[in-house]
Amino acid sequence: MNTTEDRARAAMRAIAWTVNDAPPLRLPRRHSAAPAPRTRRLRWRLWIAPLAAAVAVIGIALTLVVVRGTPSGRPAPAVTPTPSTAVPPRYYVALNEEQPNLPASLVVGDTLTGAKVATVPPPAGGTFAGVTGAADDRTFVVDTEPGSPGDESAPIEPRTWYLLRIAPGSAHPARLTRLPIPVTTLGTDVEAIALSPDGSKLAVAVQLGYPTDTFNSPAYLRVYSVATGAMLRSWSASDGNAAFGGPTFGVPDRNDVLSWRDDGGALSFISSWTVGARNPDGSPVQPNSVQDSKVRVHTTLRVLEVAGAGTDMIADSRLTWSQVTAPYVRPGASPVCVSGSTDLLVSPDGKVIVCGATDQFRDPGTRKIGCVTSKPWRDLEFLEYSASTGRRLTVLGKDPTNCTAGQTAVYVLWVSQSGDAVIGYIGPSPASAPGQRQVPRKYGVFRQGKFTPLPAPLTGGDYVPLNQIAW
Amino acid sequence: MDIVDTSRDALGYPPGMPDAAHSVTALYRAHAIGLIRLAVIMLGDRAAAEDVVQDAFLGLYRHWGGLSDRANALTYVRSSVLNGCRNALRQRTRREQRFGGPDQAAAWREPVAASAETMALVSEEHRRTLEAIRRLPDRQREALVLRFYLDMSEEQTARAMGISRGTVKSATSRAVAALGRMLGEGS
Repeated sequence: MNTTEDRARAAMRAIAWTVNDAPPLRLPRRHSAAPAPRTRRLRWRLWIAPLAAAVAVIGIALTLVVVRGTPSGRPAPAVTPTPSTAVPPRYYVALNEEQPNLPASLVVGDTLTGAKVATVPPPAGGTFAGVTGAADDRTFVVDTEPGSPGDESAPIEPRTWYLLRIAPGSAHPARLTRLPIPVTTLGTDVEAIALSPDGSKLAVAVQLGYPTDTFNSPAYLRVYSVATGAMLRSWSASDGNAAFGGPTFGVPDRNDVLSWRDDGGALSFISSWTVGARNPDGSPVQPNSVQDSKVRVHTTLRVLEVAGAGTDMIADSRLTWSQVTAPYVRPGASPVCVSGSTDLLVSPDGKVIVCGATDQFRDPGTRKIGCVTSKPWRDLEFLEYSASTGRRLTVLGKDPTNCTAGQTAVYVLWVSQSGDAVIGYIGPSPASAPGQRQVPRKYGVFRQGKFTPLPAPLTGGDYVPLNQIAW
Repeated sequence: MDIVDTSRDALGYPPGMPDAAHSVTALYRAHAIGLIRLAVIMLGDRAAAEDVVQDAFLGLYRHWGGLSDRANALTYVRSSVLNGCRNALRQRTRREQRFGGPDQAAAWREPVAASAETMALVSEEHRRTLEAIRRLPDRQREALVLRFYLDMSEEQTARAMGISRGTVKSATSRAVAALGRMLGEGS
């Protein structure tokens, strides 16, 4: 037997063994003497759902085409026009934490129609903690931790990894398969996860130190093979706070601060940290504290070449974009990206950064959010920056809100291939009290200054937490 | 047309057709996983593989009355699966050509290429090999899979493919040589 035969046999066996069950056989209920028309009718029926879906998608696409090119009053973007890939992925997977005392399930939803495709309960004893998707809109990796979202006494480890494959319209719309990626060890918290576009690799950012909360404990970025669980690459940062903005123990894994370039050759990670003052335990001073007039929030985007040399997350990565903001915005200033990394995404082609921005005025004396008399509204915007030059390119969407309304939020949830469209949310902040939630919600596609609404995602909690949704 | 899920509803077989439904369902239960495995090797996509096998058994059910030798039902359905895979691969190629490549074809997020989920479960080396197998001409690919995955004899492969034993031999030999070239081997 030669090597080629060996390799062929081994490869065929390997993929064959991924199949361990079969969906039920679906036979026609009635037998007809005229098989040909029955075949056509059956095929027609099988095509009705995809056809309807295609019509819906085309409708959205036409809307997006129509709104494209509308002058926004801003300088034209410098980016080269690319083929339209601004259509949002058809399906999403979200953590559903509607009942904090119960384990979080996963919900598979239809982005365009709002329909629920499937609900996936967590394995016994666990709760889903994070979700990240590949580029095919069918493949996701999720992880679980013990307990339930509302159980603060439950440990945050081990995180156990699963492959979630969705097949809308089939007999098994969602399949969960345990992955061989090692579970996390005691004291290790998962900060962020990102599945490579082809679904073959999982990037996991972890920070040690739980439950001591040192805030400066080391962080690691690791890349695992989804197939074998083997660790393919590892980088470290001695100060985890500088790498990912500090520990977020117990909070579901972020899927927005870590992303793959579309060719799978590089990882971008967003760091956000405060400078100017620290609490006695070393934790960064949060804006709004008594010292916050000295505080500056640094946000950076760094790129690691996966095949590059070195193991240092900071020294061996390339800084491509940075921003320093104060917690106070001057009256009349242009909107800037919201402090922190929650509202920043990199386009899959790696060329564009999109952020949620605001020009809301905060009074250094009273520390209250307000507006000046000459402009009694605040602009919430989605801004697009060049990832190479840092220059602002365009405003993808904008929404003026009343200054008397409660706290508002602007989230970037998905960005198109070239960054020319986002799925975003502008509306009440999760931090605002229910009675204050007077800002109308806008959830949908923002592109070229225009907004195309989408049905609310089935995240189970009044649009919150939207950062636990993946396409 | 109503569709009945035979795993949940064993009742409702149409008058005069219990034999067909029973027999085809029994055959499916015995061989579906093996045939889906065969199709997933060919297509690299679990969902597409399940569709091809489902269609093959539907075809068997529809033609059950006209089957001359029901002992050959498995051979019939296996041939249908091979045909279905061939058609699916051709459709995939046409779609990629029409859209200018797999990336553009995938713009609507439909699974026209080997699915990431399926391929994610195999190693990089196996993935390369499987992609090379899928690039082989139809006859060579099928001969290779039947001979080396199903371990069928040349005679059995010839019957399954409807070609002569000599053609099986040459197709297999050429497939191995072509695969070796694609994988950068000397064999």
